[in-house]
Amino acid sequence: MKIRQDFVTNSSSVSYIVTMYKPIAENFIKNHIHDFSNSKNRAVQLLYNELLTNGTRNILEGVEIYTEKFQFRTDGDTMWEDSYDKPINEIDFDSISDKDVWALVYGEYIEKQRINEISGFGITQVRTF
Amino acid sequence: MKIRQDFVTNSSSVSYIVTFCPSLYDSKNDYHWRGREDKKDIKYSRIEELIKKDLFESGTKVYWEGCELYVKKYEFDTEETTTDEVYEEQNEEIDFKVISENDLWDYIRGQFFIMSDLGHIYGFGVTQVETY
Repeated sequence: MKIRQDFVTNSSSVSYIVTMYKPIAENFIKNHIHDFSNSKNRAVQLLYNELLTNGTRNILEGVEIYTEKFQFRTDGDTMWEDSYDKPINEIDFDSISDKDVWALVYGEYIEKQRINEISGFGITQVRTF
Repeated sequence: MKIRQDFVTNSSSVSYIVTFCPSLYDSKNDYHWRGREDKKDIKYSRIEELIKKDLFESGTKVYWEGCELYVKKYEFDTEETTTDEVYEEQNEEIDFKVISENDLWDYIRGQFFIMSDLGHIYGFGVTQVETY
């Protein structure tokens, strides 16, 4: 897949902590999954499963919160929905690798913060190099 | 400023956890506004200062994923909120120079917590955790 990256002039390494409250995130995904696009479904499920599997469980004021820090470069690790060489709704995300889906998660859902569209998720930038 | 809330038919209690990374905020703030602090938007100045003050005074300092963060759970009724949309419907504009702290908190809870605008400020994050 040809990726347009020539518009990126300033790259940097960035870090974000993704937070997730499982009951609300789980419920939101369950109730809205049929409204998600193919790409959004793969991206959200990948991030949700990653937090559940490898995230840290923290207790704050009686609330269990999953956290995980993601660090990536903005000049090659990330993809935005309009970065692909064809419209994103014409791409079958069920058939592409997790690595390629992670690029979309990093760019569209973490860097551009679209994960905030999913109730129960939050994101905090913590470091830039 | 009195806000019309009669259009709210179903209020509920909601909770959000706010996260704040002071080191990232300070580095970005310094980079963007050093030497031209007078240009900084009064809206964001007041909102950032109010939330920061509250987090430093009554938040919890935690080390999550190796990062020092201040976190706090905010619980409130959705009737205690306002948003840009509410003000637009009433053809009103917020004067952030004179708005009271109470009214500003209503706006923060609605526009910055529920509508997630807080995520647009470097170093801040917000996560919904409970609804009753």
